[in-house]
Amino acid sequence: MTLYTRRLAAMAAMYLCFSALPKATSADIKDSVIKVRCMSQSYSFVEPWKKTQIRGGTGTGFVIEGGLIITNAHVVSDARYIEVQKYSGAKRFPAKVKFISHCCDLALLEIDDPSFKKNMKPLKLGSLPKIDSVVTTYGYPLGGLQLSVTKGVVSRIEMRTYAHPGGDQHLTIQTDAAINPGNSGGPVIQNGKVIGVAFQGLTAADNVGYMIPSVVVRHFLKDIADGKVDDYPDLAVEYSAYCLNPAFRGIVALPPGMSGVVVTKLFPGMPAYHKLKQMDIITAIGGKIISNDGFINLDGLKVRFAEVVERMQVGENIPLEIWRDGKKKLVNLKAASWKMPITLRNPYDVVPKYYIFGGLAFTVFSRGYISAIGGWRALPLYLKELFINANADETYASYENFAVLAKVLPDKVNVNMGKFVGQVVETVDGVTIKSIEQLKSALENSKNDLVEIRFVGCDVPLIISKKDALSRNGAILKEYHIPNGERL
Amino acid sequence: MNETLREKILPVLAIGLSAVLASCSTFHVESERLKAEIDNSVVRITATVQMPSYHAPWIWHQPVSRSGQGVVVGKNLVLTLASNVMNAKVIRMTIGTEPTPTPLTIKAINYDSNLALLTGNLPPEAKPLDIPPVSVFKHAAPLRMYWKTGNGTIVEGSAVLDKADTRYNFNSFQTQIMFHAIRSSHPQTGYGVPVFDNDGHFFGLATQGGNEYDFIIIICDTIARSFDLKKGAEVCATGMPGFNVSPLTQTYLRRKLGLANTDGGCLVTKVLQQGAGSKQLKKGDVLLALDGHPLDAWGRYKHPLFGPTFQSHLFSEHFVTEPMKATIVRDKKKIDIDLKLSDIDDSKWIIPVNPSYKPVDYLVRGGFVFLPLTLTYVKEWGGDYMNKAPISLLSALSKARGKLKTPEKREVVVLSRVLSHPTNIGLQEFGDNIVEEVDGKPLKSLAELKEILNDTSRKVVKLTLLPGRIPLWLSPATLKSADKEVKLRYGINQLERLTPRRK
Repeated sequence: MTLYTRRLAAMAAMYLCFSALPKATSADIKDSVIKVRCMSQSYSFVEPWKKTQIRGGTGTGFVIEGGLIITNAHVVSDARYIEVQKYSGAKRFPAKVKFISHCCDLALLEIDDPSFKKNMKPLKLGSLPKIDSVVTTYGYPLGGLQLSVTKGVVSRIEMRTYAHPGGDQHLTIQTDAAINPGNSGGPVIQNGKVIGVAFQGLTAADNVGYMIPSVVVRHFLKDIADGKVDDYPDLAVEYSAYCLNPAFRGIVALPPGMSGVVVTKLFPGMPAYHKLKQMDIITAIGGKIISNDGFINLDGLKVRFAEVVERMQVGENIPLEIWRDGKKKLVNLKAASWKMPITLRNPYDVVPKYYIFGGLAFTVFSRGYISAIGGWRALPLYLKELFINANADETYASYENFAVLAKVLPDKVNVNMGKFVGQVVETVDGVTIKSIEQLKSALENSKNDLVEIRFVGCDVPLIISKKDALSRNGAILKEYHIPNGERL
Repeated sequence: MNETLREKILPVLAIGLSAVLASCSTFHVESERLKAEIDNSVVRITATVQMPSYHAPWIWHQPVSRSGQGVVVGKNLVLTLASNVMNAKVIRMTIGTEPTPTPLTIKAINYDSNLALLTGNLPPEAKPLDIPPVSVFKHAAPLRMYWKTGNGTIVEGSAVLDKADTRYNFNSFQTQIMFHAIRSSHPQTGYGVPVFDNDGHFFGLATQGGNEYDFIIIICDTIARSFDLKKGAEVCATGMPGFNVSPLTQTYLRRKLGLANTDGGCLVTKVLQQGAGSKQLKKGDVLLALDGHPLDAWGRYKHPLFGPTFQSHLFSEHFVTEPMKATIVRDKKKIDIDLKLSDIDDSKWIIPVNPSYKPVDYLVRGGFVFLPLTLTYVKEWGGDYMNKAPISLLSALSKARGKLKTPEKREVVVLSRVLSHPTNIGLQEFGDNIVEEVDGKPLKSLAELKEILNDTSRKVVKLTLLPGRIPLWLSPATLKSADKEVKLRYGINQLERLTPRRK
């Protein structure tokens, strides 16, 4: 652990202790709400040697103990330059991202200028609010330049998909207080404490805004206390409510009064894959009884049983009670975050890998790549299937990633190969390719001059001369102004 | 200057203008003459179609009407597009302003060319058109289209010929020469609008358009090959290739296959189980020549009239049972083979290609609704079904397409939905799952599933469902106990409809 991470761990611990201090006044709150301006730039996933256009945006943040600022990850994703401004004062302070967790859409900013902390009263985290209780949001949304304050009630608390990562679900608080673009990262206050971080809305409905509850913020702060972001662990189990069915209960001899959910799908590479079986019934988690439709009672709330895992850190023990072959069994799983050959999350702060061979530019088949080529609709059926199945299919358990031909840089060595653009590499000279790194090795070390590349779902192979490809590579890179032939 | 304008330029302009007016007037007179000539040959067709519901296969959707055009081609014979009348419950035609339309029936339908011959007691004024054996392509040649509106008025449109090209028609496995034209007046095309050349000769029927201005003409050559009008309008079965090819334009791939750039030839990438190539061709063969025509690297031959033309068109020019020679390269050796031309029988596929609106087979047991997977089923998700239908159904469809029914696999069975009932609580979330296995054995057909689920001596039946190979345990006795109530509650008159298997 470095000096910095130890200091941060101490700050995070201190922060957690201070959460119970007296509540802040309205003036204190306003002073602690920060306007965040960010210039961002990401990489192209189709031409990964290039960066995309520079974009500017604004959001909100709030100061916590230690003068650090919490905001949404989506406010500062792919940041090149960030500056923050207090409610009172015109000075703009350059800021840096210290930790960012895209999976829960939270980021922690640090300001080097010591004057930023002067007279700053950090905000404290509260607990989960009650349904129908009044909350106040603070932020800098569109429609004006000054701090905006809106009020509403807590409408609902449940797990919901976070739009920023795209594939992760965490606990979310719904409110009818107006949450608009620019509010993101701003505090939602009840009794002078932060009970949530405003982060997304529902455009198809009226007065539906969402905030990240303080339990998720606490999880983030605890996660980074060791100086690194592990993200959320996941049980990685798909389940069904079969136990509601009397005939099914009879078939599996589930005793009356016992309830639970039936495991229907497991994911290779995740701890549950080796310890659970399809059709196991998970009856309890962390000592909490699971209902037949997959809910538990936690902190007075009816929430999905996955919430128990949500509150754990990676590496912690998940105690499960299961019903298997007519017997009760205890199973302990180690909480782990997702590991998958195709990234399902939206990519941020990612430097995409690529490799160019004879003008054939390969990159990693990912959600970022799919979005860049026009989204899901642009994929042929067989690649849609691959995208869906790769993370759940034992066949691909040993794959690190899939290489896709992102671009053909036209040259005499690759004439008429453009039709393979967008296809995922399956084999090179008959050897299965399980990563872009392996692809490079297979192409460069092929014993044949005419190398055969086969693509998933394609009947025709791509044949290229290794000698010609390697001899033309330098000229092609020069011609197309590409500084390097690879980034792996 | 003014004098020059008055004395020299104005008379020239006046002469020019009168010439234009005269030509317009000639065009108008010509147009009116032609209209009068064909007025009793162009007919309006109205077909009423009722599609079965796939989500509730025991009911039918509301009947819908569609209209199109046709031409009288013989005594009591009308030619139109197959797509105008396919699966119609009722077909009617009007020739003029008569208040009562004439009922028609389908005499012959050729899905491969998207053409249908209809018959009925046509009014005495119906005048058969002379169908020439060929349509001659002339670039930018003017065309006229005529169609009848709902009140019997004949309307005229104009277009110019753009290009001749091969393309797949409808759901055919065969490509045909079609002429592309660009509209210069009215947007109405498609639906079988008759097309004439500038001299008033019948030229073909307009079918689906490309873009707003483009449309395609099924030409007389195709019409002549589709039906034998002399032999009682029989459908003429032209040969089907039954294989797919891919261009061989990669330099190094050609080198690896031992082919020079001048050799031409295309790569056989898929061989179907029916069609001319099904027995003699193999995936990986290089097709060098067909019917004596050398093929280029894109798989085209030099057509005497239309230039480079896709090889599969050669099959549409020959009838079933006719022989055809092919030269191929297999394992780097050049060999000549004889292809015996054959048809493709859609009913032999596990997944038929042509959409059928016949009553849907189904089986309801204990609220679980099972159906055979068809193209029409996934088309329930609308025109964008390839993006909207569940991937598992599309995937199963894609894997089974082009495969013949066998005694082991006759249908792909789908658990379409679950009608809620106390006996299936907790299992209602299933829907659009493929039933892959029953008790560990691959499922053959809906009929086999019926037999298994009716066997109440079995305590439990395990279905393995895709995606995910999820097991679903069902008790035949429990299913049976719910059937009566499910039938009453959901207004299902029959709990099953299974078409008897053809011997």
